[in-house]
Amino acid sequence: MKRNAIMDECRKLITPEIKRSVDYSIFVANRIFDILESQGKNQRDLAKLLNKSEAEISKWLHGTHTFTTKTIGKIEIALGESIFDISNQPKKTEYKIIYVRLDNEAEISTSKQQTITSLNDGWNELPAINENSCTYSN
Amino acid sequence: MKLQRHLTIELIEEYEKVSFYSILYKGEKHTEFEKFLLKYKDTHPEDIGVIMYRLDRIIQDGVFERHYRYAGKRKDRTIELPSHLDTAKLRLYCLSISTKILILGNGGLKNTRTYNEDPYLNSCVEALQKIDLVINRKEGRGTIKIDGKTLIGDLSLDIKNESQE
Repeated sequence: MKRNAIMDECRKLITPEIKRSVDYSIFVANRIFDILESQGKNQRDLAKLLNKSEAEISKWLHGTHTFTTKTIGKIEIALGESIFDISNQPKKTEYKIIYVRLDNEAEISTSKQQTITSLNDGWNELPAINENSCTYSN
Repeated sequence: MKLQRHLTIELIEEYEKVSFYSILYKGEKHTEFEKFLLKYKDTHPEDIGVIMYRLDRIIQDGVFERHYRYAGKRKDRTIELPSHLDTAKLRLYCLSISTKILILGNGGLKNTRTYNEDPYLNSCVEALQKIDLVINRKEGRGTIKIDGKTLIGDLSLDIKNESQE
């Protein structure tokens, strides 16, 4: 493998923001191609669905068109699939209940874990703490 | 005044899937791509970063058309980086020889709607178009062969340079 010193020097200019932005660009293009392929469609079919010329669609996918959210929305509606997953479902926070056995005040040994997604649920489900509900390890 | 310019196609980076070549004019120390990087790395670091990361993605994926936009004419292999999806004022012109071989040329700031309207950018694209024509002829004669990610054969060539006095 051969490397170029000037190119390597310039690679130091790649920031995390640049990486994220370029990766998104590649993702959009790949996603459109993948949706078309999975539906057995090509650029011509997408052009017909959007009532555009094939040349214009070609520009969208390879050429000089700058994608806007409006264009992406049109493509999503035409293909009936999302390019970005923008569901409004909030992420559930996971809480961990850890049962511990206190051998003495200074030392905590062992634990048994249970994962819950709501503190209320957790309290309702919380079993009575006794020796049998805990697993101990050395 | 028409002058012949002598140049060689030099391998500058090689990876598992892809090789990058550039153009070294006779008597010059740096290749065209190195000149481009040295000229803009301090004044346009973000744009250079975008182009370098695109090249890094090409190293992973191959020289596929989703990574670039076409420049020049349909019949030649001149392309432009970065892709239409990236935001950058700098343009780098290249020859996409195959999905494994990319010849990196020169470029500059695009302040006009098309590259033809800018004499310097136009000269970058025209030089690549001439080089592509000569490579094509040499491929036809068998003096240049493409073997996977390697260009084999006589990689020294002459092009007419009409813009030079």
